[in-house]
Amino acid sequence: MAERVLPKIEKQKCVLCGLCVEACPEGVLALKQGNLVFANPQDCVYCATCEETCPENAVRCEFEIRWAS
Amino acid sequence: MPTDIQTIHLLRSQSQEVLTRICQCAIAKRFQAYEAISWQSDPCEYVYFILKGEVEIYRLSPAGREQILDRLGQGGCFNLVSALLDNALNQSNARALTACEILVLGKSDFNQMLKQFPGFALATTHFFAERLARMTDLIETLSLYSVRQRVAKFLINQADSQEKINSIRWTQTDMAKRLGTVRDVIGRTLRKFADEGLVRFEREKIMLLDRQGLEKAATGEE
Repeated sequence: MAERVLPKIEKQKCVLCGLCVEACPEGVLALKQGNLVFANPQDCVYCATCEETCPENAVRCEFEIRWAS
Repeated sequence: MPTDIQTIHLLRSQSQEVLTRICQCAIAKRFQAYEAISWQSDPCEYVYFILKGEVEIYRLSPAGREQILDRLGQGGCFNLVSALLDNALNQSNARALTACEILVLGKSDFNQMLKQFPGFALATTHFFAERLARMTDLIETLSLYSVRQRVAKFLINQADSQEKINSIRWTQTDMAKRLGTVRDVIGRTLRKFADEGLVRFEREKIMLLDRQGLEKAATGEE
């Protein structure tokens, strides 16, 4: 089974402000023990709200652009 | 000699002598994802050839806004322009987008090879011609096209080139930096394209559905 694709977190940029945690409509993210983690990865719908919210550009929701066959 | 040295576009049809010289003079360096490789306005010391990974070339405004000039994958090379100018500074910033392995050649060795190997010099000339054409295209796009047109054209170009090169992935923020706008505008434009049936969002993919429609959007013939 393919691994679930999740947003990428650049830990060196993340300042643990928690704005993405508040903004995530699905409650996927959490701050735990000094780290930003995916507490509920199965709920992530890849809406990219976390990327939009992050003031430090620490979250990346990457897209591949392809022609539909 | 690195076994993948001939994946470098500039070296593809070069003689064994050229390849041997490169391997004697260059060193392979590894960079982590998002690590800086070179900085604009630092003295130019090296040219770079990408053995593995993806590299982003960009410039910064005084206020810190980024303009992405190019994204290069395996086989690409960068910082050649600066290496050909006397006492030049690096023209742009370069950072690794993924873990990279890069062949680093000293500027003086590069110039010496251009003098010594006409085939290498000719290949470098072709490289500059292609790069100039791409930059001219970028200038035209940024200066003369609306954001809607730029996004449509960008989507078409990216999808067309995905078949030929290792797939490069873009965030909406990256697209904004490439297309000279801001993320919100990119998001609104893409959502409008989806509403119009031109694209479809899938997890980690933007699927282009209607080439004709996107081409009309790209040229403004709507």
